[in-house]
Amino acid sequence: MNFPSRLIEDAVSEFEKLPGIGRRSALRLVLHLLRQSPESVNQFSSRIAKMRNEIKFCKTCHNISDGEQCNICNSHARNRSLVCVVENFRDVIAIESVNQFNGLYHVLGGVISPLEGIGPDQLNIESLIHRAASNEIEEVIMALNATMEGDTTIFYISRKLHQFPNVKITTLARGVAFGGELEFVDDLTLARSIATRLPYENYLVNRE
Amino acid sequence: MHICRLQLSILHLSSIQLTNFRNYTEQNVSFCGGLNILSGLNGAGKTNLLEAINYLCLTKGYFHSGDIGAINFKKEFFRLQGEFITERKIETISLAFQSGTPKILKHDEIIYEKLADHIGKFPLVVIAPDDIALIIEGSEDRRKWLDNTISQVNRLYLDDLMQYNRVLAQRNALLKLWSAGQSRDEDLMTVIDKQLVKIGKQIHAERKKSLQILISLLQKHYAFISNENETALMNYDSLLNESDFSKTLITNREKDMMLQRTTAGVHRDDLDFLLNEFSIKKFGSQGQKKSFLIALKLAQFDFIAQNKNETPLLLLDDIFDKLDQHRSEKLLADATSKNRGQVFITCTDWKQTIISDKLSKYFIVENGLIK
Ligand SMILES: Nc1ncnc2c1ncn2[C@@H]1O[C@H](COP(=O)(O)OP(=O)(O)O)[C@@H](O)[C@H]1O
Ligand SMILES: [Mg+2]
Ligand SMILES: [Zn+2]
Repeated sequence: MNFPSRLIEDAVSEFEKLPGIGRRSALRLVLHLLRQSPESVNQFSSRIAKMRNEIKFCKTCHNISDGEQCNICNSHARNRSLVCVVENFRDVIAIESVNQFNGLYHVLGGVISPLEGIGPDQLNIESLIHRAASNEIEEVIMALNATMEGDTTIFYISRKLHQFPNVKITTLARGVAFGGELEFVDDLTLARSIATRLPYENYLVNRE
Repeated sequence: MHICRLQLSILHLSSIQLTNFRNYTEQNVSFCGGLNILSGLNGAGKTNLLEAINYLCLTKGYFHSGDIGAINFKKEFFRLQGEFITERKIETISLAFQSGTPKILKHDEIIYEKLADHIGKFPLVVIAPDDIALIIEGSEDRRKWLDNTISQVNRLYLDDLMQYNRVLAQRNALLKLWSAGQSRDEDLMTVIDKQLVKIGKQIHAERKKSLQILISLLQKHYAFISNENETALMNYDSLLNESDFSKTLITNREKDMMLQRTTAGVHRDDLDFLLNEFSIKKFGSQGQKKSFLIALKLAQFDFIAQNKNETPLLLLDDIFDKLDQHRSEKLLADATSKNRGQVFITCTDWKQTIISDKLSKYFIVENGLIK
């Protein structure tokens, strides 16, 4: 695709860099912007630049934030003795959207994977240990993906938190989804759920 | 040509459609639930057809590794579709592959998220001339055979294997980082070791348990095939039999770092094939080796059949050309016995017309066409 204008060409190339946007869609977006008033396009581009320049990462939990501390860490309504450890911001958004969790978060920024050159030092693990040392925390919930690397990260962090006997460590329940019909659960999940079955009393308590 | 004698209702492949697969461009074949005998000249495409069946059951090839080579030389993709008759109903499996993209496997039009979920749904055992590699090659071939056998009956085992390999790769990567001078986080290595040990022990226990059954089946079949008084045996050779895996990993840590790989674990397990307590690789005659391999494969068949309550497909490639008359007759007698279900046999000529009580169907394979 050749464009009569260098300016259009440049704008299209920028949109094309976005995930899931091909050259054709990029052109469509650019032509759309061209039909808008210069003021509204200015606002569009300045808000994006502002977002990138001014976004901060919460110094406590590393969540995305407008200030030094994020809204969640600042809130007085949250239970400060509970910390939910997640891989990234998307997980925070996912857990927040179900309105079930009222504690604080800790965003690791990834999981341990030597294959990809990611060790504990590249992640926000040290700061989690500092938080645990502050005596305010009673429970750390490990809400990481059910992968080998997720497990490695959970075990590693648990090991580091052993020095604080008052901190209880929990992980998300895994297995057959609630409301899921057994017939449609994949074989592996079903087999694992059977292998790691729970006592019935436990089940009753958890259903409360 | 059609000879119908006995109707079978057990699991079988009733038809297959091959598109651009090896030397086939477009081919439809219907099979019977009993014996399917394919004859044709060398290079006609008999083995390629068996390969296609292996793909549909186990998502990959048996005779060749790598999927790209399976695409017809002149084409960009291949596609296979099979209709399986099971106790319940007709189930359609299709597998499509194009270079550079993952294989797409469908079960009744539903795409599998993980290919591994398919393994064991349609069990299968192959007996082929190349199997001799099992005896003469390194331990990897024997581990693969054992893993293939157990994976077809135990989905968790296959998952354990994949997880083990993943953790092993992570451990080796960490060893490399260490040996490249990265500061050593011993805690991290300890955590990874723990994961490796936990899964490694599960794999070891499952292999050990399965081998006990496989050994007795092997002995039974060897006695039948060979007619001789030798005792066939396979010993499970694993560090985990006697040593503490966890301690060994710690002891080996320095050595492993130097070598940049994990030197101990179930990924190094082996099977010793023995005849009267002597290594068959070192001392066995050609005939003994062949008998042993057939007995091993029939043991695999019975093991899967017992554990799944389903009769695997049995694929016999070139057995008449590569085996002497005595052994091929024995094998044929076994393959056509009532314990076996659907069987595919390839041969180069009609001389050995196979007479059996089983429902049989004959095919001629010629230059990528089946009649
Ligand atoms: N990807 C491919 N495309 C086309 N032809 C192939 C391909 N792979 C193998 N062949 C051909 O298939 C033939 C071998 O078929 P095979 O099934 O092994 O024969 P046989 O009937 O002796 O078992 C050879 O002629 C080989 O060139
Ligand atoms: Mg052949
Ligand atoms: Zn925060």
